[in-house]
Amino acid sequence: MSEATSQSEPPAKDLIGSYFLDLWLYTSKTLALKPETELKSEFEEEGEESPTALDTLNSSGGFSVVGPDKLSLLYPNANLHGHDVGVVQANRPAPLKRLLYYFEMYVKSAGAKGQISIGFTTSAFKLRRQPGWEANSYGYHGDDGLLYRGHGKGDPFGPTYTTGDTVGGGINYATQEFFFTKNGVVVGSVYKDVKGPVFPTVAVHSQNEEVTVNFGKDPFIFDLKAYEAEQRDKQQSKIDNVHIPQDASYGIIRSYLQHYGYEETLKLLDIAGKSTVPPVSVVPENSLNEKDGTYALNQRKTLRQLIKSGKIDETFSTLGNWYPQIVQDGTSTTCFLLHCQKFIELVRDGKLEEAIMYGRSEFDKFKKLSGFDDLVKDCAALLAYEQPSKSSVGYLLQESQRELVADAVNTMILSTNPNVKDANLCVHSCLERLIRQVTACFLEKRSLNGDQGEAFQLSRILNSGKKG
Amino acid sequence: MLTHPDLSPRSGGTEADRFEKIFNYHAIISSVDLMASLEDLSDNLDVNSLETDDLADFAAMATSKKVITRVDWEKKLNDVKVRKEDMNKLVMNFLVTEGYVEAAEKFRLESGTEPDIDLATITDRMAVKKAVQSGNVEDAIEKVNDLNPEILDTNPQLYFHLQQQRLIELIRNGKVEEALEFAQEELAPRGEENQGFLQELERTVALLAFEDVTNCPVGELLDISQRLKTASEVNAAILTSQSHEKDPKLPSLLKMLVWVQNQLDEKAAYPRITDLSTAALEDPAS
Repeated sequence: MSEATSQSEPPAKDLIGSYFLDLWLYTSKTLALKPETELKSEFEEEGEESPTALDTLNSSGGFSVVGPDKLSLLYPNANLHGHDVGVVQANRPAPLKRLLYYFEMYVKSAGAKGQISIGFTTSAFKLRRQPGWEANSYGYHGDDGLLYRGHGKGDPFGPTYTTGDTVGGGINYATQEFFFTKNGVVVGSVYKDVKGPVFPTVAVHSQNEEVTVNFGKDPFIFDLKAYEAEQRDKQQSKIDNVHIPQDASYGIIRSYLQHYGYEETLKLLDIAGKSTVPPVSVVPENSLNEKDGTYALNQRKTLRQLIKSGKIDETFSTLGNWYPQIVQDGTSTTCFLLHCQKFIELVRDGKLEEAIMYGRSEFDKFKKLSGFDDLVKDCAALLAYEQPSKSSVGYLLQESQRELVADAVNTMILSTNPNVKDANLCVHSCLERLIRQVTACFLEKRSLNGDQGEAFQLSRILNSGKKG
Repeated sequence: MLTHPDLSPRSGGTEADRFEKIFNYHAIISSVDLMASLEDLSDNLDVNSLETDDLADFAAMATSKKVITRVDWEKKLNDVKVRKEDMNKLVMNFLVTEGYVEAAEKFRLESGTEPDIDLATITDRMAVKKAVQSGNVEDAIEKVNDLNPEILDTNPQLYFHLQQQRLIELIRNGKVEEALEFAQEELAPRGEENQGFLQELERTVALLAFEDVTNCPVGELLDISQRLKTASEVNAAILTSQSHEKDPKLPSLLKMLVWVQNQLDEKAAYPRITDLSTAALEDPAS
């Protein structure tokens, strides 16, 4: 307990403080709008729009008719030659930032000659030709089951298809291929040798041919989710062969527990690690990393417990005893975070009058902090609701907010370690740095690949493999 | 060599401009050996007066890899927001899958993270694992059946490996007669059904043929690693029967990091993490 009065300089509060303020602001913006659905869907996060209907602006000279729902296509007249194909693209190109894209076409009627096709074309495509008959286009044709990719002669590919069949066209960004399905079964795939955005495309060419298209509004005949899982597994098995040092995970977990001050868990883990067979190779106790890792471990654990139980007054007094340098500047970010938390706890306990008085006496001195306005507004908004936890600022009453404050105090204490040269190193645990690196690398790799494919998503990893 | 008037220091412009002109000149006359050109260039220029960015640009041109400076990379890193809850979940998942029950219980209290599996089932699973690791295979089999009789029923390979381990332990303890009886009654029938089992059986029985068992061709069967292999197999089967993934997610994440860095290395030079235990960034090779 007597590590209290350290001789070091006041900690680099600004850097650390502003990091946590920014984090709170970010949370406020992303969570405040939708209290129930915490995370946007994977695809919303990427900000790309998907095709939803057939395009009616760029028509192909009127050879075909798009239905009023913009999801059906009819070829009413008899065709005369190869340049009067009734071909229509989707209203938007296929989105890039995902593993797969897919859409389906149902053949309502094969008409006179069943010259229907499904495929992908670019924006430069001549909208009078079958997809696949021109460069930079791909088409799987129903009358001959061939795949056309850029010229008039097709390659043997799959079965023919006709009235009553459902065919699908997809893009696999990981393998850079187009793939096609018939009635729920993959018939084949072909290398995607075209750069830039491509439009899902369907075409009809003989009299009375009629098709409908599904861009995902209705369930697909093809089990896309299962196929996606299959493709991910394939990627995964390449990754599984990578070699990592044994016990690397164990070490990172230990380091995490040390960093955030989970002292009791760490003790039990160390005991268990010694008795596994074979015993885990533990870091020697005197190494520099170990000493820095366990700096003020007991104090940090204690303070985290206090904050997580909402005992903010006690937090202030304990900090005042042990680390006065952290709270001596009453206008620091740490103090701001703690005062806000005290306010939140008072609201949680239903002591609204006390909360108002507290806010009035404390908040004013933080006016100079950036983000102050928005954050104080969020706190104050709690007072407006009968059931604040269900409101747009309900996130403040969740454990995650207490966690944020606890992490901020934890980092401030770590920064009082005289051995620490760079305060920034105290902010992120080793695990966090690894996750940031893998995320950034995947994003960069994707960006160098024409922005195609999915990003690294921790939530996907965490939720994978859950059955039932 | 560089006698062209445009390329002499007196032609004016910044050092960077001159660098660019010389570079392009070389590119035109000998598109093949750009690296040699660069060496030539550095002999004739005051390289110290060039900005880091200029150097980076030209390095990129020479090697056709995108160069990302430390500063830019750190900006990208700062844009990544990692949720504390998600990290806590990763930790809990590790503790639970690896069977550190007490640590998992404590972590639940200290962090408020809920485990994704009933902690009570971990104790049972660890008891089985420990029994195999200590060579008490009969005990382990009994425990597995208590936990869920379907596990061994639906897993003939696992059952065979457990029986094989029993045989190994009998041989290890010098109980030759008992071993032979066991092999004939319990294992031989399995061997008849399955070629792979038969081969394993023959290998195991071969232990009896040697005086110096530890140095014989099948000596590895007596090694502790064989027990660990079997223990691991049982552990995985129990987890699977409980609809839980048999491997923790963290090692997979680490492998992804190594993999994606290797992939990215082909197209870019950027700060890498080589030491997973410190996650320290190394400046891009310049």
